[in-house]
Amino acid sequence: MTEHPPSHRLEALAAGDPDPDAEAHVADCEACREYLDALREELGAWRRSPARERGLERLREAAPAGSNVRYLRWASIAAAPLLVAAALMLFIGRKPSPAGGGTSAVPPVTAAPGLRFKGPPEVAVVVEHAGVQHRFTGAVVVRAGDRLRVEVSVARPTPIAAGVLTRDHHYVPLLLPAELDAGTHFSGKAAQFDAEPTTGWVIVGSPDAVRAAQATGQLSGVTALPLSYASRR
Amino acid sequence: MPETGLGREEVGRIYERYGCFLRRRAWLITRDAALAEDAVHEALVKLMKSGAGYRSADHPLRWLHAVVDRSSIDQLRRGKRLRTAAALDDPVARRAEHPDVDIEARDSVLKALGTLGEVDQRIAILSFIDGMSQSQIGEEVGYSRVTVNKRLQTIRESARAFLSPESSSEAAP
Repeated sequence: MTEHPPSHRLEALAAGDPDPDAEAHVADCEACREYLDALREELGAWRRSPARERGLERLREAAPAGSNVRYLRWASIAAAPLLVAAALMLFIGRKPSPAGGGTSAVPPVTAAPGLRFKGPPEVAVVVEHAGVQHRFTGAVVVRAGDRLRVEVSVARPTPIAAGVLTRDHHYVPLLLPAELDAGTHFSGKAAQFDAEPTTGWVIVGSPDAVRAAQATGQLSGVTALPLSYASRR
Repeated sequence: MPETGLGREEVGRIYERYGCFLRRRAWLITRDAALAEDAVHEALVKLMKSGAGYRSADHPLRWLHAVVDRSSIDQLRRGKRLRTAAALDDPVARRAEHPDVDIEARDSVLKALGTLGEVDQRIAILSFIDGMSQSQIGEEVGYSRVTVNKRLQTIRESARAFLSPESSSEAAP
């Protein structure tokens, strides 16, 4: 073999698949040997990583093959009116917090996956703690080492910005101001929390409203999920 | 009725063996750790549903890569999610690179992947991710080496045009 073996063959070799031709090439090729060593290193790191465990967990929870996918779709449709009713009750039952804060901000309206909602953006926060992801649609609790991302769903093209606004008026952008197409979007950036307690809000809204919230601390124009810090689990 | 899917345990073993490289590949295509995980998960669910072909594949990982490629491109198309900045958990710096892959060209071509047709997407992935030579790609897709060469030139030009400032101000990705 004179050409370098394609990546998938070297990856398979790193995973332990036999491939005498590729092995012979690697024995004589320093560049491929280096690449193979790096792949093995990457494999070792992945086997110790939370990402691997997270993948296994999702696989354990995955619907088995066959008709269940259709069943889940029907289940979603059947459950949709109930979820909308529950969401409306949530919306009606809780008043927005007074301007400037408090721990009870406007709760986001939730809906079943795939259900289009004609209204303000739906907001959820995904927090990764010790390799496990938790999804919040209300108050968010973080601990040291957690990572946080925002998920925003819009029914039509909408200009949106999002970030973390701390009580001492620091703002960490997660979603830079942009017009989002209809659909669900994850923030391009994640926030990571250190051991210093951070409290505040995850705020989402039009770029102007988010800028105003940063400047004044008034949260009336944005969707705000209160953010609290727990020192221990 | 012939069995078309793989059992959960078998898929679990596949994930344990190859998951690292499936995720790596999905990340190269989507440039987003969360999307890459979603793409791999979706590919594994596909295996449970209709992955029996894996058992007779000459190169199992190559076969799996084809499934992950489709899931990754689907993720990009479906979500239209923002990729304005790398997330904190995107481990760009730690990745191994195949000796035949031009990293700069790969990064620009993959950013424009969603704008390419299906065959060009495949050629781009084989060239810029797998590091395959033009003759190897030709064998894979059934084209002559010369045709592959021309298509790769067109792909590079499309990527350049897509990423030029004039283009990005007119149509953001």
